[in-house]
Amino acid sequence: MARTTLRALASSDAEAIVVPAGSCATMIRVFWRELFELAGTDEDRRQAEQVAARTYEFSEFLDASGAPENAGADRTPTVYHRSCHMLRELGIDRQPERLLDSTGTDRRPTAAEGRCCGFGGLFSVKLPEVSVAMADEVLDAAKGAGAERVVGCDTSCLLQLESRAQRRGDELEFRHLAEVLDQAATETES
Amino acid sequence: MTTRAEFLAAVRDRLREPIPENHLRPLTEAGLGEPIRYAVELSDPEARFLEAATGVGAEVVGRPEDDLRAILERVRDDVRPARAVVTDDPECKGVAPILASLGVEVLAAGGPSDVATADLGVTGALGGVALTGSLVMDSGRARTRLASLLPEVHLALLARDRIAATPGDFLRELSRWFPDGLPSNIVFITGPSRSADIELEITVGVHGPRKVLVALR
Amino acid sequence: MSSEFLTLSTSLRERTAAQVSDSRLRSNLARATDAFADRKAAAYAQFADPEEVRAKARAAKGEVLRRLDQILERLADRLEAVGAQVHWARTDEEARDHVRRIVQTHSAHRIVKSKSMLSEEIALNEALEEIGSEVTETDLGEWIIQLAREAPSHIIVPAIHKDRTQVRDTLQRVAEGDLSDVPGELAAFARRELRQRFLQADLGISGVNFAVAESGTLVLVTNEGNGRLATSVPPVHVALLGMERVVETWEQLDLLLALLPRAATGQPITTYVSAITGARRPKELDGPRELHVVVVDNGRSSILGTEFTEMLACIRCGACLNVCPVYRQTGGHGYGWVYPGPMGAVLTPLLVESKGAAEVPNASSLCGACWQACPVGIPLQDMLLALRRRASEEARLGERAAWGAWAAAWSRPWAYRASLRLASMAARMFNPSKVPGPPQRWALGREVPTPARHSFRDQWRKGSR
Ligand code: SF4
Repeated sequence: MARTTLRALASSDAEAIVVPAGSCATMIRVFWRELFELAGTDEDRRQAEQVAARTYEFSEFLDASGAPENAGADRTPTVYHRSCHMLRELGIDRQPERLLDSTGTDRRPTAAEGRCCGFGGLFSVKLPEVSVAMADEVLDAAKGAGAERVVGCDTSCLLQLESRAQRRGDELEFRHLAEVLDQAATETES
Repeated sequence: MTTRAEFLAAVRDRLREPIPENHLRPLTEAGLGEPIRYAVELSDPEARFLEAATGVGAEVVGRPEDDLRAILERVRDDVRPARAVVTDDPECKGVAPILASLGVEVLAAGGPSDVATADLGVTGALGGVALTGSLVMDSGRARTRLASLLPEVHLALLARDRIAATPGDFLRELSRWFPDGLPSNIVFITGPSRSADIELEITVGVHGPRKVLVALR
Repeated sequence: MSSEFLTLSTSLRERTAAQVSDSRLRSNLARATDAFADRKAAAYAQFADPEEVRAKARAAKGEVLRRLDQILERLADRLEAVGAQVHWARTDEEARDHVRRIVQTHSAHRIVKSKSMLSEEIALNEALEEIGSEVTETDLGEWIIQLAREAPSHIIVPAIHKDRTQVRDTLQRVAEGDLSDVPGELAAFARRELRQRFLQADLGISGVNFAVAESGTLVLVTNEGNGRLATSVPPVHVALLGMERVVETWEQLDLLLALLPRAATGQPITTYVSAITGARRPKELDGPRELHVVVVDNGRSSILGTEFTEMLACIRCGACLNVCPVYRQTGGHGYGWVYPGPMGAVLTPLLVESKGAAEVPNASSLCGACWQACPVGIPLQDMLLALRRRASEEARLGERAAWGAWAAAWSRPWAYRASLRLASMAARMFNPSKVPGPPQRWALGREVPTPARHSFRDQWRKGSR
């Protein structure tokens, strides 16, 4: 499976591979090396290194290319959810927040800063009660900060939080950072 | 019962092959090299010691220029001890007669149940640590380890020129501090005994002294 | 430790779900772990470069583990040279036997203990009570736990799951008058009660935080003073030493000593750091006349040399518990064995052989906060993942397939999209909470998400710009 993707990416001559989900970028940049180290050929390893070197997580790429100047009119009170993989494995720290701030949004700090949403892949169904309690804490913190919107860069976290919020009946909106940036840019243009 | 040889052989056996590496987060060979670098001002050890010691709740009751009798008088007025125990540390020279003349009964050396009846323990300190505000007790010089432990109040006399900058500086020079080899008990004391076992609220004087007083000499 | 408190024979899910439903427990834990986080940050700020200290400590521990046999040998030589008696225990049973023999030789009826997780691991208290000794835990938190007949739920703060009212109610059982719930007053009560026991004790038992091989010194790091009392007042001191808790030099110790209290409680140093080298010397007035050191393997050597070797670098600081979002919700008892949190989730299956133990690594969302917090940089999340892989290789094929399909669906973008569609279709057709297996568990407390009106993916496709 990983090898299929590796071949596909390696055969592309794009300068940068931009991945819109933090976990996927982590997979390619961090865990592939380990994977192919253990179960790959020399060719796999060479390709994995080479692909990893030009793979960027979405916000990291955008931020490095200079944050767009599009102070929009969107003042929605927002909490940014820092996903574990991006924060700890990729070390992507403030980039997404910088980008978000460029839209002029009312970004608020949260008491659950950097705390896991409780998804964790299989974890979410192996220990559903704990997983839900973890989501609750992140959601409560967002609401406690007065947020109406949660923005993230990792689809899995957003899925977990949104699913729980829907069940609780929380009035919270969930958006990928790209959506918010896109919307802000569209507004600025028009 | 397993013998030493058997136990160690089993350990050795596990180390025949190289230990597998974590490729994601490999272990670097970052040798020990330089001592830990601290972001704390340590150029004046005495000043830092006093700041750190009071920061953890120790009280400074005397400076080198103060007269020993004046210090002990202040301590007596503050603590009102009925009974005191004084160690054989060289810094304590002259303490017992002064205390006696101030109306404090000074216990003759004894075991735990005697020392436990004292409400003041007076000890010297072999040295201090500036970074942490710690006092270093040496059971060899003091001949007792309980004077700094059982009484409610512990008064330590510390020479100002015996303050190491960091714990590491002290530990790297153990052979200088203890030229005759390590005593059976060395203890670094940093402030009064404390516990945070109930709701992480810090309470003082759980098993050891409630008050730690320091006089610089 | 009473056995109904810790068990690996129920399922991890049952245990953790029960803990999660206790909202008082969760708020007690949240308060405590938040306080830890603030204190730790302040204490680390004293380092010019905390990462450098961590890296050096990790390397130093790695070096020790690579030469553990030689270093243990050196330690044993030095210990014997300073007059300590060294006992070797391959198993928990052997360790208990050693201690029992020492206790019986001295007809020690009254025993005081300073907190030791290793003694919990080998279930020492029960073994000593069986031969008629009265064992008193003297660490305030551990005493509370002993009186409540529970097991510690944290390796540094055993009663972290209890608030002041619960502590008051527990101590009230042995108090004559009415106790208040003010922590300072409760601590004063403990001091009075336990002081007598120290003075009357025949034997003291402690753990060891670090042993320094080059001088044969045992280092104990404590705050309350009970550790000093237990190792100074009774005529005999028995120290339990996990075989991996050794360093070779004082220079190495400096690194670990700087990190342990900062990571554990946010203190630059604990109130007391005792360095014990042998028993009382001829001119001394107090201190134990005999020092026994029981060196315990109990499964540790089976970790040595494997991909989990670095787990033996653990200095038992509890930092990984304090930052773990799972521990924060469940507390320690749900893990089912003496070591909770991320370090426990790694150690349990490595030290205990059972199906229940193999399941414990699932108590992690693999968020990596533990690794980031660990003062010796143990890659806990990599180990948790490896342990899960190992457990699933041993699991039944059918079980594996069900989880595997679900895992695949959530880990790949295309499958994620497909599963969203499928799930929303299914949601319209069936009640998802009736479909057994993973979907049902997802639906427990969460909606099966309906795709957004226009999902990011579709929008991106359309090139809405
Ligand atoms: S694994 Fe690391 S953080 Fe956890 S207790 Fe051990 S040393 Fe501390």
